[in-house]
Amino acid sequence: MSKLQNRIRRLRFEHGEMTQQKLAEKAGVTRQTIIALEASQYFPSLLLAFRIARVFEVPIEQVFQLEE
Amino acid sequence: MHSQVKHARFNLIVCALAIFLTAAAYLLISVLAGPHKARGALGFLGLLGLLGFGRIFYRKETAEGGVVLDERDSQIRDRSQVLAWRVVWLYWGLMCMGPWLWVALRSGLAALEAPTVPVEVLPWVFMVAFLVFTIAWSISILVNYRTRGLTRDE
Repeated sequence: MSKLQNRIRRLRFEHGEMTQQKLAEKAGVTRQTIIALEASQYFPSLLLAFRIARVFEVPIEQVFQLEE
Repeated sequence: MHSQVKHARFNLIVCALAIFLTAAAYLLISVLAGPHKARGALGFLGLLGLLGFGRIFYRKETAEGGVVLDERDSQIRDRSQVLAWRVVWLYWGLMCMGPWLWVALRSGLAALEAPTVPVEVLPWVFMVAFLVFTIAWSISILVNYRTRGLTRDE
């Protein structure tokens, strides 16, 4: 069974302790969705995954990793 | 709290109020004026018109130019609508089969040879279908936001 992990919380803190609200505004989603993403309760679309990676200016695989 | 959650809660409160007042009026009128006049209690289901004010909960985000519904919210809404239509379809099936049982219990098995259902039942069936849809949709939204949050492992 594969599972999608992410480093959004860590990346937020590495980028000046960016708030969930700020990230949500930059990615064009609600804060609740960022909360669900960080808790791995929601798996984003490819489009949203790229938008989040672009906010942090890192490749998408540095934000999301597929674990077997 | 997300606007869609507020909307779902508002829907449930309005539905509960409409059901309670309709049932109470039906019982009251039945006792005071007889069951034939009690059909007037259906008028209390007009309170469901208040559901139209649900748009108010999205006014703030719309005015501020913020995100009203993102992809996760849209998925929850769509998934809840699909579930609600499934529930309505089950209800509709029961409503098609139920009258046979109702006729048999009320008038005996012999009546099933030429069963008749009063036409006054039809508006009730329609209104209750709307209620069932709204309640199922709202509960599904609340459950999706509160519990799983659309987790899907593959």
